[in-house]
Amino acid sequence: MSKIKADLGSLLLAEFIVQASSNRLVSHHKVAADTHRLAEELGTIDALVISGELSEEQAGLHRQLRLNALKMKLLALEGVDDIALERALDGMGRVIRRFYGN
Amino acid sequence: MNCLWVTKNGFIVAILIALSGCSLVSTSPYDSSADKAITKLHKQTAEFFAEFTKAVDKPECGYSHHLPFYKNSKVSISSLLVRARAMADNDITVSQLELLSSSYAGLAQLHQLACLTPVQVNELWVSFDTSFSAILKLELAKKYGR
Repeated sequence: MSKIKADLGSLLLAEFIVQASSNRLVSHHKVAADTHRLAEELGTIDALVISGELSEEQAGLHRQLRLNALKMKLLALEGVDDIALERALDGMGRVIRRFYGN
Repeated sequence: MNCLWVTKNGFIVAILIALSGCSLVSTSPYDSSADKAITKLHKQTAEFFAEFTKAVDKPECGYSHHLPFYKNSKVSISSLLVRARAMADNDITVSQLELLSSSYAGLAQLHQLACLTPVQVNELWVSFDTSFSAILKLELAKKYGR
């Protein structure tokens, strides 16, 4: 029994590594980069207010649009991670089914 | 409850989940109609910004001259939202479209305040391109798996 478990464990680990290398399961590094970019963009809007190109009301709306865009990006990353995880679980499920001959 | 019991039963549960074909994570399937509608809306929006750069400082730069664009965008977003909400496990796309709808409302508010300057048009164009890229990125990930 322990030999069977070890074999199945090895197969699952191999499948997980294949899935993890083909699908990015986590994208935390991108979140940090996008947040940093937003900070720069908000700085640009502030500079436009100071130079008189934008009023405070206009700047508020521009900030809101930038924030919406970032939220959409973060949601996309979350969704893509979910899809990658779903594929990884499906792949591991296939390994178990193959292992037991189903 | 010892360690062996947990390992044994956890192993059985994992096998049962896999054999039953259940997924712990579930996302809606790719929707080609939504993909086409989003791409079309992006094209309309890009055309609006491209045309607007020519109309800056002209009498036709006012909000009232662009009412058809705002009306069409509102109708397109509404249709996309109804379709997205009707699909199961589609919460993330629905949230993205709600944010896009809010961005169009913000754009209209900005335009009602005054004619958009070239600097503002550039800012807005980047914001909307980023938003559309994010929505399409998720939709295409549903198709291609990444």
